[in-house]
Amino acid sequence: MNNVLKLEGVTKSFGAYKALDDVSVDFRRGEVHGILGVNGSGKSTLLKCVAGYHVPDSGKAFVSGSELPWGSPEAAAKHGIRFIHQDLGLVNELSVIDNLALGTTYEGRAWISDRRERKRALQLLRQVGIDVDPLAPVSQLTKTEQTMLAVARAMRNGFSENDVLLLDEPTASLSSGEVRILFELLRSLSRRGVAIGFVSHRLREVLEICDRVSVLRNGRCVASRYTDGLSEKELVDLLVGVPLSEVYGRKKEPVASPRVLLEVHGLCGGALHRLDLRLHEGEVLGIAGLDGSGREQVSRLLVGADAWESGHIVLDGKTFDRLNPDVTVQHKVAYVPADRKSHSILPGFSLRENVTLARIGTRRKGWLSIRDEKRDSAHWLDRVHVDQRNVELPISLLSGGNQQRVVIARWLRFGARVMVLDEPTQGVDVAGRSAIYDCLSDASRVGTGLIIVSTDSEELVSVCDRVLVLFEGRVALDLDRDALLAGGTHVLDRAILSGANQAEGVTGAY
Amino acid sequence: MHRVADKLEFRRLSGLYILALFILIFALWIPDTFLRVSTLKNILTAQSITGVLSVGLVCAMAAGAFDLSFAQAAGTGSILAAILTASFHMNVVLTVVIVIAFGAVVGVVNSLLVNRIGLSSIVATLGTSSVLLAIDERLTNENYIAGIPRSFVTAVNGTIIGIPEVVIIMVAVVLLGWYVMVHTPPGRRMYATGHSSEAARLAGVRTSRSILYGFLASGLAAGVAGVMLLGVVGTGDPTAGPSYLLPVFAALFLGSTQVHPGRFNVWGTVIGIFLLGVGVQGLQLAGYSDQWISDLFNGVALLLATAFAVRNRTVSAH
Repeated sequence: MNNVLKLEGVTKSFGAYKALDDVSVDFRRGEVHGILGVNGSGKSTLLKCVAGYHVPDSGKAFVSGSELPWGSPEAAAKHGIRFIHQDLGLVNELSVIDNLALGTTYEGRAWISDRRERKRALQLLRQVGIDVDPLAPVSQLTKTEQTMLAVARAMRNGFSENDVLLLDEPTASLSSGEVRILFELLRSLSRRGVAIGFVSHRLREVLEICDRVSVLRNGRCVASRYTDGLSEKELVDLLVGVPLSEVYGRKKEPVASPRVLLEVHGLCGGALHRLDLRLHEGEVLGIAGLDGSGREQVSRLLVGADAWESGHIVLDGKTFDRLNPDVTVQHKVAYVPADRKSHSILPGFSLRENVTLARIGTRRKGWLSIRDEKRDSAHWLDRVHVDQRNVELPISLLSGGNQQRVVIARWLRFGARVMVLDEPTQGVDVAGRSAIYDCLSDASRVGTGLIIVSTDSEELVSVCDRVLVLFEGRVALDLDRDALLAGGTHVLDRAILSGANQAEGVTGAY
Repeated sequence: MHRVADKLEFRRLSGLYILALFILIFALWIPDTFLRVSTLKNILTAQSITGVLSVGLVCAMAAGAFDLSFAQAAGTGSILAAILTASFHMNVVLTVVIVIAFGAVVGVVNSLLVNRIGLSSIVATLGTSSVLLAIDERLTNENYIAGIPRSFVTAVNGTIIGIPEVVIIMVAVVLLGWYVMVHTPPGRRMYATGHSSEAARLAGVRTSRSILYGFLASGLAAGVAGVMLLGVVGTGDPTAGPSYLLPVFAALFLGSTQVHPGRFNVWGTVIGIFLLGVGVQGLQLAGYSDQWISDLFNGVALLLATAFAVRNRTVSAH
């Protein structure tokens, strides 16, 4: 009876898509177990099944021998399974103490005593070994301290040998020094018998902390083995699979045009330490990278939505030390954000109003004719194959894929020369995706330069002329068309996971 | 034919049908007093200041600028006009220009507090409102200002071919507001800013400019309303302005369930104003002239209308 939590044959489909396919994993007492996989391999889904958020189609889970019912967060908690989600779930405005007390019940207490809470909190912090000011608001803590606080909170009801602590990408936004401190804490917990599950895609860390790893690929558990003697290279092979010789079919011939639309020099901000790039007319440039590699910040920095710390951007021959979205738009640089609902579309606005937002105006000066506007936007909706009869409907009624195409229509109508797209097909089904790709390739054919920031390697490989891979805030690798054609997603995934070294070794082999 | 049916759809224009119902009820109930030209004139005149202020507030609220200071700004504007004409014997045109400019200044100050300092618009305008009240009280010592020259009162409160001037001003402001908000690009950008500020900003809209325009419109409207207020009341009344705060907001929220549901809009607000105006006036003519009855009517009408709209929305969403 060494295993505390045991999952058997877990299968979960979303429509036709099989996110998990007969996955069996166990978590053992006093062991740190890494769950690894590239984006979309199913590791988050697995965790969400255990947490009671998803109900699997089939499969069983056992906690210390007794079966755990699916779909019940309460049952998971009662059985001693604790979760730390990527966003940590702390309330930034509240103090450390208040965060530790949050969610505990005050039943049978007429008076909430600050002193009693402080005493409990201090005890817990000492137990876990975190040295922070218990009265400081969480927002003033470093990222590591916040993560450790989340661990302490998960453990606030005491921990025993029958507890399981599952962490979803806890190191995504930590530097390597900070990661070490967190690891010490996890180690000390595992020494006390807690079983720890650790979801990540940072290989070095996983090899460093985990006793055992299970690798998920396309929803299947392809390997489960001890890390002793396992090299980073082997791990990459497990994650990405054996390279296929299949060559990705590509429709588009690259536009042979030397004109530079956008130049970026030493851009730095957030997790991004240095970015240099040059975008040519008609070029489709991809940007890839792990969470925390600076990938998340790139698009917003490029369009001036967030202020950057240093570096400059050249547009139309003019050098900018800072930018605002209205200025970038004036220079015909468009932005299609990842957060469609709150950053991209105006949900209550009609399709017409969403299409014309970037350049409002009709033929007659001084009179915005709704009828002209309707005709104009119908034309552009037609271009992106959205039913133009819906032109007066609120855009919120459309599917994600159609919404995205309306936003693309907005920028096509505007005459954007550069489009920066962040996760353009996130949450879009297969049919919707290919429609979006068609719109984008139409745009690039007429000379629009595209920058596509994406976590979907397949998308990048099949759409882009060139892909920059970010690793720890820098461009680790610049994969051109030939390298992409030869290596496919494998070479890209390798570069994403472990930076330049690994991938160079691989590309050299081709 | 289809388009006409579309335009008269009940859901979008329920207010007009209810207005017609009110008129029918009062016409049957008190035909002698209600069915008169003078009643129509009274209703229009009584609602003219509310109308002007509402149009200004539609612009501000559309841009996401929650303006609580417009009513007090109108009040302080009327006191300013009273002092300029009564104590300094300033001529009518110059007074009007100064009072409207004063309204514009209030709008600009509000927008600076929101755009530059980053205050929430509710807090900023609550603050300016209180400061304006203080100016008001300091200038009047909380007394009425009498001795407004006849020339001013006749100039503002007169009639042109039998139509009260204040009504003409209201109609002009309503048309201007509708034109700007619906048929110009800045109006659309103001709606976009109020609807989703970040999405608008990322699409290249200068959202702080939209907010400036919103506050400016409501400040200018307050200035105009200040002049009208002094002309209609005939004395500088330090309590006259703030009493418009609730009815104007009531009309605005009522209006946002009409014509273009979910959006603060000029014509919907006009329907809201007259729905409330006809109801109150009718009740007064029928002998229920206590202030509390009007207030009760306003409150209940607002609650019923918006509750109906919320219900409708949740039903259609499923």
